Amino acid sequence: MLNINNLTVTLGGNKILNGLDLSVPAGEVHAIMGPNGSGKSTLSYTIAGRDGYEPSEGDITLDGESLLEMGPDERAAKGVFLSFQSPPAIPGVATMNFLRTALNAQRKARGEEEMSSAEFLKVFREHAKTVGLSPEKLKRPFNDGYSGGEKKRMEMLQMALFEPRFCIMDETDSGLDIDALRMVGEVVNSLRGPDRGFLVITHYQRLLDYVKPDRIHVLAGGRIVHSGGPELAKELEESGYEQFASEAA
Amino acid sequence: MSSPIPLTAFEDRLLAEVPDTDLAELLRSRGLPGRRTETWKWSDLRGALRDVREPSGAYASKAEAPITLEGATVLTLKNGVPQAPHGVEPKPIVKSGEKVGSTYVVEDGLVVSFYDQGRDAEDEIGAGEELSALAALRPLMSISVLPGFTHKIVLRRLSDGEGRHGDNVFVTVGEGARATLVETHEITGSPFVNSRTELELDAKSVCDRFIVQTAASEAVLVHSSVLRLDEAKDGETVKLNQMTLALGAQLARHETRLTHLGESEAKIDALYRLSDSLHTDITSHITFEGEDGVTDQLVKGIADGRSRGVFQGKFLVQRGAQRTDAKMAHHALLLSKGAQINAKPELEIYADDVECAHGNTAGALDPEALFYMRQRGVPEDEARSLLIDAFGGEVLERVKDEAVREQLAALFHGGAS
Ligand SMILES: Nc1ncnc2c1ncn2[C@@H]1O[C@H](COP(=O)(O)OP(=O)(O)O)[C@@H](O)[C@H]1O
Ligand SMILES: [Mg+2]
Repeated sequence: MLNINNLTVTLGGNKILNGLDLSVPAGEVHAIMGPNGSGKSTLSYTIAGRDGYEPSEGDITLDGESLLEMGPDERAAKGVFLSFQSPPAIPGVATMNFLRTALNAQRKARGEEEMSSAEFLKVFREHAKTVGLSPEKLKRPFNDGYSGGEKKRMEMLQMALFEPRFCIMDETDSGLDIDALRMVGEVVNSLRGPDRGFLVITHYQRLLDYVKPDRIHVLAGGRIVHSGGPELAKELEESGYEQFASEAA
Repeated sequence: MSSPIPLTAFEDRLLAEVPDTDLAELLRSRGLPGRRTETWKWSDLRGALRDVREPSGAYASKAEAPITLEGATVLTLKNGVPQAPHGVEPKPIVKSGEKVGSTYVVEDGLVVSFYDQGRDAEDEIGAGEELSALAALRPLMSISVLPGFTHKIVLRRLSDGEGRHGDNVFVTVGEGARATLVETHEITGSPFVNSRTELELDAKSVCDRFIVQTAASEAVLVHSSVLRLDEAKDGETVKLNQMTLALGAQLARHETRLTHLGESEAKIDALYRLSDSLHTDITSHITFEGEDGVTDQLVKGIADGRSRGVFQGKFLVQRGAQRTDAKMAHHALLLSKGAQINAKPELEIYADDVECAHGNTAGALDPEALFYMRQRGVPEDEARSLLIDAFGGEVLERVKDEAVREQLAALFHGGAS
């Protein structure tokens, strides 16, 4: 499904990612853990195609097709979804209008039929209920006046709404209470399936209690320095990244 | 006064038509206002009017109204000439045994009069006020909403050709009356248009005023508005809600001079949207003469291509004007490297118990929001367009009349095309 090959990304003169290799097969959930500043968000922005995050080397392919020449919206239409670590507020932009525009733009790009307002409203309301966002909140401009936790719920609402092929979750769990974590687990587990892949970036093993990963990778020094099964999460929580960080050197 | 400068042939022509007063003196010594005039330094009218322009001929184009108002009386000026209202017989206006104009009772409580003359040129005008004074010399068109009445008026200014013309409109909203006044500038071709609106709001009156100027890439337009808001009576204040939507011209200046005589409330909002090499200048000069005047001003603009947006806002709070409450904000979006914004907020305060605030920003579209929207699948152009509409929406939201707001939003949205 998603293949990353020798990925090198330089920001402000520093090589943040340095020959990173990673492969997430369809149907699997992979977690990435790593110290602050190790480049986890950089990796997610690079996959999503943010301006300024063009790799100087390497390639990223989804189902064998390189993403690098595509703009962020084209990648989204191919099924790449990023749950942002700190989602922005977009004052003045009505939430429903924006999300329906986005959904239909994706559909149009894929040659699918657009969704009617009525149908959209129906699915939107269902997902809003699942993630626990009130209709009152959703009447506000996008993320306007939302708390950190509410913004994360909005990310999960969108992940459920867009039904992406490949989901990147950048610290979706940080700042969430147990109930919210359970909700995140619910959304991920309902989407989990043989055609879909997940890359879950996290610091904590608590999210992994709700979302059971197939593999866990440690990011340090700009590359994956260690990979293992689900049991690796506990080990990292107990003894930290130090032991693996030295492997990078 | 600066030393006389060589006048252009066009300035000589204008001067020949002006009575010998301060106005003539100003024009003779300084020419038309432009780069060298402090209040016009970013709107070089003199430079834009180098060539001689002859008085405009008859209006010969067809235009579709950019905005309509349900139930309104529509009045039209064609190349500056007021058109007789339909289906109403004129009555002569006689002064000292001579006919000096015609008057029309258009509806109950709405009287429109056309005079053959303008007013005598004023003395004591300052540099920068020449255009307003020149327009005041034109034959006067007066519109009166009589005390206690409610009326909606659309005043269309249609212009074409490559000559010059202007108009001189005087609107009074009588005591306790309510008026919605929409003024349009619909210009094709490349004329020089010098318009003037004087608006007097008597005690307890309410006026919603909209000025809509569609894009006119080769025209030069100056519209001076002179507004007086009467003081409160029986505990009721005068309320003015003004909103200008300006979509640019070769050079366009929308100038508002407003005086709060006492307790009264004004919104002096504007929204401009420019592309290519269009120019728009939003200038306002608000004087707080009496106590308890309130002005809340929000101006936003968007400049793309090689366009230029100008905002000059001044609050003058006079000595006796205690408890003045004045807010001024100008925010601009620059969509290209070649676009320019010039802004000058100015406060001059001689009273001690006042609240004055001003803010001014200019910047690009939020790259974070843009990336986010694209990550969700919205193509770049559409994402930009949504963000631009959201930016302008903050001003449009302040328009209470939904039908008007929607038409303004559509004009703003299509403004760049
Ligand atoms: N736009 C940028 N320009 C320069 N340096 C950046 C930029 N974004 C992030 N960095 C740097 O890259 C490193 C990795 O950041 P980030 O990917 O956010 O780490 P993480 O998400 O793992 O905490 C940090 O040292 C950070 O300061
Ligand atoms: Mg991060």
